[in-house]
Amino acid sequence: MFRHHWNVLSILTAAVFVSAALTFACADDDDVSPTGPTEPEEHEDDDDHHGPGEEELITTLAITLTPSGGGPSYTVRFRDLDGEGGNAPVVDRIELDAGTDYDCMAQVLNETESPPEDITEEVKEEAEAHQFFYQTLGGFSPATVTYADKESDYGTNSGADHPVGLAFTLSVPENAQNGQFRVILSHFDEAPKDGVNQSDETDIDVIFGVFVRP
Amino acid sequence: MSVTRILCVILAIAVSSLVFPAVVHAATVSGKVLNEAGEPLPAVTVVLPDLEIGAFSDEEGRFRLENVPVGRHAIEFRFVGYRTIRSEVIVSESEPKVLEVSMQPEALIGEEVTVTGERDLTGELTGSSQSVLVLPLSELEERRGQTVGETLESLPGVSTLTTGPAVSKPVLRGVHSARVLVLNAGITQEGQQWGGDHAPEIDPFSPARIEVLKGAAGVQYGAGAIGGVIRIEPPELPTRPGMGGRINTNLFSNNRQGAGSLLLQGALRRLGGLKWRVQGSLRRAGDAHAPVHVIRNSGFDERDYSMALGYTSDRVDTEAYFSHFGTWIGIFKGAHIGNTTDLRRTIERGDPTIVGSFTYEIDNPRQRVDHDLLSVRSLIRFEGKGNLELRYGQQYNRREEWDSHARSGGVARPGFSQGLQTHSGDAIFQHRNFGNWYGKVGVSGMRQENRRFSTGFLIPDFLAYSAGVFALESWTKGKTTVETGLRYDYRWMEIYSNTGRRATEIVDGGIFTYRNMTGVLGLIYELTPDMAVAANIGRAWRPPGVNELYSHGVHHGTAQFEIGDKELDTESSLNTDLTLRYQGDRGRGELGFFRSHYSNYISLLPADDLVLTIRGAFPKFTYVQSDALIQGFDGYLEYELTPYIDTHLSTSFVRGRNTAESQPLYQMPSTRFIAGLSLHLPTGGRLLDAGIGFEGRFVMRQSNFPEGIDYADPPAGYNLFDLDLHAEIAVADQPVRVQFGVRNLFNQRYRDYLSRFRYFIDNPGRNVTFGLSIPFGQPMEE
Repeated sequence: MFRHHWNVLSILTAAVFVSAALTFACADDDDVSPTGPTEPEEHEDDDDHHGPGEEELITTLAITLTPSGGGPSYTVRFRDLDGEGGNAPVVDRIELDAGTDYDCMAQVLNETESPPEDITEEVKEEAEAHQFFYQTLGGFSPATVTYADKESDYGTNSGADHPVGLAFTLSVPENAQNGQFRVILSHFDEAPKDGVNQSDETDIDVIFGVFVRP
Repeated sequence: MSVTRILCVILAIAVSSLVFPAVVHAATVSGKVLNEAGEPLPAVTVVLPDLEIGAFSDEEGRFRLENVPVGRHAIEFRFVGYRTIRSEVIVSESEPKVLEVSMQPEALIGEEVTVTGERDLTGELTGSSQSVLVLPLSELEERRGQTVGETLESLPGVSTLTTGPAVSKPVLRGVHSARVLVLNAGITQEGQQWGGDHAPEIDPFSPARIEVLKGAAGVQYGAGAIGGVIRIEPPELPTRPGMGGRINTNLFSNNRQGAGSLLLQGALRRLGGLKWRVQGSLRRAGDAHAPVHVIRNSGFDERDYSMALGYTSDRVDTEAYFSHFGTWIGIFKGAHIGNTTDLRRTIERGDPTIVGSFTYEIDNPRQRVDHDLLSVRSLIRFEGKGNLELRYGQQYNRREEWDSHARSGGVARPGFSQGLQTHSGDAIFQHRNFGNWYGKVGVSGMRQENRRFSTGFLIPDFLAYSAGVFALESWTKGKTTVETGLRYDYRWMEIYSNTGRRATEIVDGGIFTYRNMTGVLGLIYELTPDMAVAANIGRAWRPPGVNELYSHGVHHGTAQFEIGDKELDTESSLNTDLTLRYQGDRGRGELGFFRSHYSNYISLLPADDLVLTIRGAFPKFTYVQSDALIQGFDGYLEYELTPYIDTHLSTSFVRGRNTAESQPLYQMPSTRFIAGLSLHLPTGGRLLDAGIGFEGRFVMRQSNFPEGIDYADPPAGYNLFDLDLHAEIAVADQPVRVQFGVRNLFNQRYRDYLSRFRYFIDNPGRNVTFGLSIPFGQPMEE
């Protein structure tokens, strides 16, 4: 009697385990592969430099300044090569001459890739969803920024042709002194870009120290 | 419409129902009681408890109850050594009711007795030395279509941590996530529980019974049962031959949600003892509506199914249960901010900038969650000695999250994705009464593996093993029960190292071991036949979570740079509680006081430092340990004012304090009261049950909060009112249930302190609900 019931039980249990094994088999094979945690999965996505789906990383903001009246251009950078946390970012100082206008270009990079990924291209592609904002602070506040581009400069965009701010002019008057220069890149997802207000999704927010040569 | 006007309407209905009571028609209920082998069972007590009508079965197992009023009644079959059957019977005038009942020897699967002896916990006076709330099938039916978190929300001492309408986590007496254990079909649910926006992966249509045990229960359940245990049980498989089932449909106006479930079950006539069930459900919702705004991208699309197979023989019962949970969840777009300035600006403005119209579409950011659970439980009876219960569980949890807009590849592939596989086994021997002693001993083990797929990084991969052994005994004499137990647990975990170019993905792994001893001492004393007092002192513990050891990065919703600490030790609590219970003729109630002392309570606190990133500077928060104290009280009272009017009241009060820092704990639920009135309308003919319910929920502002942790102070208190109408109609001898309700009746704007979206947008507004539940075939056994 007892033996009989054990047999029924063991058959039933065996059936359940076999079906369970089958159910989980897919998960086992495809997902929990014993290849180790760090081995990258192969994906047939060639234009994808960084890890698939990984949140976009911006390591570097570079601003190239060229005196409007001619002269050598130079580039200042905010670089955080290991991304958030870890080593602190390295921030260059901006050095300028009072009474001079500068034509400036902003560039955004992911330098964890080699060669570095130029995210500026993506900003241009999605010009209607991005805008740089520039603030002159402290003794540098007499300096002013004028946008020198429009969305339409970067191809056909669905926006209302607001500025993007990849190109801008920085005017440093005679009375400008040492201070700070703040650069913000706003990302506009669903919130409308109106050319004036920042969004609630900031991609970049950095402050450079400014040294003004009288 | 004002509150007073609605109250007037309700009162008018109440008065009219008092003046015109239902005309009473009567009929006969008879039948036959059989044992597990199909033989007649004499001397079984058959009772209709609400009507105080009863009879015994004769030598041939037959019984007969005369003059039973027409309507729907609870019926019970009781016999020593057999499991009490609690069911419902629908009595109609047209034909006398004939029932055939087969009784099963006691201590079947799913009836594992919690903490104390051979008692049923269902609201019983002396059931447990801790506060246990039970939601039986009838109450779950009223809440169908909602998430499990929402289902439990109205219980005293329970609140929810929400991330929009689709994600709600139960909070028991102020604690949640890794401090609350969820048991599904006897198996500890293992998902990525550490995340505040990771809700329990449970099909809300699947449970037939939910038990909420408040307070530490480390001896019985092992690591994690610090703040309490939520036990979710699927329906018991039917014992009567034949087939039956139920269709549920629910509609919700606020997010235009449709939900439905189909259940089919049966027991085979030819292969006696073999029984089965299949169930599937769908829940689909679009954007929810706050009173003023559409909560953009807050829809969900959930598809779940489960199946069960059981076999009962003389000595062995076996039940196998498999369930799949799968959902897409949209995360409100406005909650995705870039840095601290963004967050401050959003809070100052108050309203979201992201506006749009309703859609069912789920866009990024979103989550995809899948959970498979297999549970196999066997109960082997050793006559005169006891029962051995064997449990095996296998789970696979896969969670994928998409960011708002990772530009390349990100839309197609998740920002992070990982799988957690868990195998667990338990063996518990429950011995028969030995003098006044009754109890059990058990061993359990678990293997767990977390694997990240090649996506962004959140928590490292790990492999963990744990094992535990426990004994739990209770001693009963007269009106006194004493219970005591001990448990030893061991956990081994290897965290795998990881390299990468980004600081956030570099992990210096290692091997971690934790061991812990826990104990419990409880007392229950029956003061009067309808009042009892229970006291309990218990310990529980948990190892630090992988996120607490290894977090390193910005938390998007809160603009904090969170840093884990590999040196964290186990957290443990010593929980003392005192519960007063009342179970009278006209009502029942419970009042519980609790005090939990935590050693090494893990919390995330500001480190008075900034982390400079390209998106600006973020305040640095680190996981630290300190002593903490969480205390408070909660309780409820249900009372029958007149045969047609019931009232219910409940309250929850919690205070948490970091005793080392001498400041309040973050995110403690605020004080709340619930008061409600239900009217039973006259029934008769086909109308089996009808009622109107009106409930007010009064939530205070949280005035106890730590300084300097949060960007915004706790939001104002709020009052919400709900209205509910329901009726049960006999259609082809089956009780068909129709429900119509309005939640947040006055479309009140409010933000709850435990809503993770409270910086960004209001909680949802008015919600009109409709529900239909149609049983068919063999009635379900409760």
